[in-house]
Amino acid sequence: MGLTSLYIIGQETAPNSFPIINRNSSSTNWANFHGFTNIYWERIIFTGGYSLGFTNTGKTHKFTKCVVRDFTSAFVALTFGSGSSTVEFVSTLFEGNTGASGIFDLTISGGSYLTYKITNCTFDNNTAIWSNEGNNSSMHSNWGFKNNIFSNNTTTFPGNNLRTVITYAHTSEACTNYGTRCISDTDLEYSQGTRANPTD
Amino acid sequence: MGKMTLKHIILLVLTLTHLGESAKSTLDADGGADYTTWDDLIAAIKANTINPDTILI
Repeated sequence: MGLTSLYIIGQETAPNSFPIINRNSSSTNWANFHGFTNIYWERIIFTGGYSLGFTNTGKTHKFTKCVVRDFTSAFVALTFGSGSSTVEFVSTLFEGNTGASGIFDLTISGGSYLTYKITNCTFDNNTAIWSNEGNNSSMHSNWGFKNNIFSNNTTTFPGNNLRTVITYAHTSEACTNYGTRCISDTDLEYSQGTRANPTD
Repeated sequence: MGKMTLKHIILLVLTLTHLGESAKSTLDADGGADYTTWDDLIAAIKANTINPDTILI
């Protein structure tokens, strides 16, 4: 690919009508797809049973206004060394994902240069969110998870190192070891008690 | 520098319009687009058959 950026955009603007990408095979065409260029996803629903793999190639992978739901595996597998890639999620809903290794399967060792940001996202009713905390707490200096909602997840964090990266969050668990200005609320309410659509 | 004629102006506008045009590919599983499967689209990109900067789904 000769271009420096690729924008992948859903043309529907109503969240319940976003186009759905069902990752239902381990097609090798997906493997390292994100290593070719900077990729910006917008207004897409992702579901399936096979992860998107991100490796350390110094690229930016950004998801904005997306929905990640009902994945039976991890949604993304982050395999990074000491590179300078950026992985970012903005205004994205993660709901009903049941992968035992979490939505983000982290295989991250060494280095402190991966920029990993999650902003204005909602995590509701997932089995787990992160597989682990990364192997080196110093790498968290470039990680920032701000202004997110964590509700009804079986396991929110695998340990306290990640909690310290969380700021300005609403969470249904206690805020012990969280970062600055987080609020615990055991009764976070949505417009629908049982949520089948993104707008619920 | 000589005076620009209407013909020159039209050629300039056409050139600028062409330079600003993005390379779009479309995907729709129901047909009516460039590709009907995501896998085929990615394969075409990897093979350098197409080189889009935007994919519309």
